[in-house]
Amino acid sequence: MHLNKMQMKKWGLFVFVTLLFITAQVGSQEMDHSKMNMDDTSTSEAAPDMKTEDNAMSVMRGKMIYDMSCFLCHGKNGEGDGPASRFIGPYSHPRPNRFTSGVFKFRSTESGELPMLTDLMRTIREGIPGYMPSFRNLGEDGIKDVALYITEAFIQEELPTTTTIKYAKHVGPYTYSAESAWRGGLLYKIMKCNECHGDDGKAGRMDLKDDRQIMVHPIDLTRQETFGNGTSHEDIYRTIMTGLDGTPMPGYADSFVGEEESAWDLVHFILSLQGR
Amino acid sequence: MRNFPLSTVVLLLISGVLLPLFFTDTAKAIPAFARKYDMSCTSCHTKPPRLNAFGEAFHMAGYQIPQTKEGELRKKRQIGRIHSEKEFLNIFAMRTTGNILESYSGGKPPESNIAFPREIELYFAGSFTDDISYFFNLSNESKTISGLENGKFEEKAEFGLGKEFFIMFNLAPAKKDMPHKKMGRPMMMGPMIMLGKIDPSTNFSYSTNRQFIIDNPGRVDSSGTIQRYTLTPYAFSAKFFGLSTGDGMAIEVTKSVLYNTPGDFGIDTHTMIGPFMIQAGIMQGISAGTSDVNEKKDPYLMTRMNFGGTNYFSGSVSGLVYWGNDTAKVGTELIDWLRYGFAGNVKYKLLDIYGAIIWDKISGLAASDAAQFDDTAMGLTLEADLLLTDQHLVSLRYDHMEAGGFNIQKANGRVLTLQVRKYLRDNFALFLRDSVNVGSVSDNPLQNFRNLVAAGIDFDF
Repeated sequence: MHLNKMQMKKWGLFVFVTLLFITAQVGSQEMDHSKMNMDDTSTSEAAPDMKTEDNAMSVMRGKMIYDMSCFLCHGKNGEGDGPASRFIGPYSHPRPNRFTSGVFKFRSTESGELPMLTDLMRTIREGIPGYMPSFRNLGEDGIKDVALYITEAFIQEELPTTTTIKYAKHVGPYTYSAESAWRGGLLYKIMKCNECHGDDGKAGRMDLKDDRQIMVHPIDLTRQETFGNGTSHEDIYRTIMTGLDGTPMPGYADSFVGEEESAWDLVHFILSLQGR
Repeated sequence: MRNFPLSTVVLLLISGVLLPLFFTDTAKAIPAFARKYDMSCTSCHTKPPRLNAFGEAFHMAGYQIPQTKEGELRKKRQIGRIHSEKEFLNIFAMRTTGNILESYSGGKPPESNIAFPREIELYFAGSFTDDISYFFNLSNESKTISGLENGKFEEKAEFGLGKEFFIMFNLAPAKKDMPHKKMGRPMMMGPMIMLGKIDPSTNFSYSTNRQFIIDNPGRVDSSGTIQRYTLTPYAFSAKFFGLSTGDGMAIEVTKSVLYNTPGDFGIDTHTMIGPFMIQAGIMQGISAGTSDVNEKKDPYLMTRMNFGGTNYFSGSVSGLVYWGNDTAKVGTELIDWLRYGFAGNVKYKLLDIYGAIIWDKISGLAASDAAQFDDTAMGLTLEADLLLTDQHLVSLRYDHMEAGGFNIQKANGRVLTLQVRKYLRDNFALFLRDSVNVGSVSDNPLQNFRNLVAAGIDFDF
């Protein structure tokens, strides 16, 4: 495009006004650092201690956020039938969760149980790679508001505040080592993880469906970006122990009773598949 | 560009387009802008470039996840309120699209072409701060039709500032405290202000800049006479035969103009209050020529209402009034141009139906032209897209134009287009289209074909 003099003048004016506006914006307000620099780990697992009257206000605030953003995928009634929901998983898993079903993939509680509030908050904060954005910039208060609204409006049951799953410490012989990963490799076959995820972890089975009868592919364990429930050591441990309700991935907490530490071996094997 | 026998073209079509449909791997997501948010393309798009409801909300919020300020500050550097991307690829995207093969029949002359994909666009989009976003676009079109003086045209390549090039400001008060301060009031987004080279129709229920069925380039002969107009959505097009820009350059009848311009200088403001959007702005005017010489500006007003939100259903209806103020010429006389119309969109599950009907009326004609110039025109475009599988998208579009302009030149157009897209990957599609002139075939450049078969690519990165 060739600009004549008149357009050059207009562009000059445009750039000038823009720079002026940006400068004014920067100078007139200060960053709310306390909200922007949130500590993921220090707050994420802290149990909420909300008073009832505060909860009512929090739920109202949560509804406002939900009705502006979350409903687009999860639907106004929490049925997972928002106007954008089918495009996320048009013909395959995942689809936005149906909160009213009481089935939640991402929990720290036993399979079949409801999640804790902190579980909901973690999912809202972290998002689900590939499918749900992180809403961490709502701030912890905003995240809690939304989680409380979802609980009250759609789940309509009291959420557990503790879990019976034993989260063994990641210490001693169960810190990452080649030996631990080797033991995990044996467990991987003994527990038949390879039947769905493949011997090489690259997800072979194509015949699985979730409880909504939608085709679901086991994740590729060699690609951490496909891990919907988080990629940290603890996230993978939690996923193994609790499973992903609503999908064919069961929880293995029962298999590790009394030997919870050895689940870390399996975690380390999975990490080794990713070269981590 | 070379001409080939139709049989050759058909053979190439089969070997180059159809065969891969049966021997391709499963589609895998390769996000473009989605890189930044760790999202798949289909979180925001039906398929690029068309937006689904989440994408519309994202766009409305200034390329940010609604209600979250800047969605991914973890990936940015911050200096005070200003943030910048750590990764260039988080703000950069590219799209190339166009026909590789095309064949016209039923007109004069029939022709078949092998062409390089017509359009390559580079995008830079993101946000400087929580409330200032940007969208810059550079484009190269290998073949476009431009107006010349005396009603002549030329085919040429164009490179430069693309269809859109703007800064967007979110003037929502105390955004960081929202929505806590808004309890009890209607939910509101914006006001947003777009300043620069903009396409205001991006907020219309049927936006000009998000087409699955791309414009098919027209044909100009060596004498500068147009043989065949560019095939565009007729609702958005100029519709009048015999118009020129303020500085005398001919305006192609099917060129998207006014509110539906692919990009013109102006300022736009839009606000969402509950389910209602109000949009108003001022544009420089027709972008067909090099400038709007009379310096008058064109105001417009658009309102839109969204509905739905459960049961996989959503939709919107929009109404538009645009006043082209001395915005073009008939002969040597500057004319005013009123454009008004409606658009609607309904999405249910994987079906997306949308359309627009736009009326145009010209006033201020010279007395000598008034008797021989039809000062009204109407364009209708209806489209339905269905995502048949993860990898197959079928589109059907009907375009209807009751043209205006000089009676001796004008003709009406009716075109029905069927297109199938095969997505080899989320961001890479092959398409095969067939556009049929369901009206009269004649030497008039609006009617100078019976059938157009084209195959091409649409690649986003």
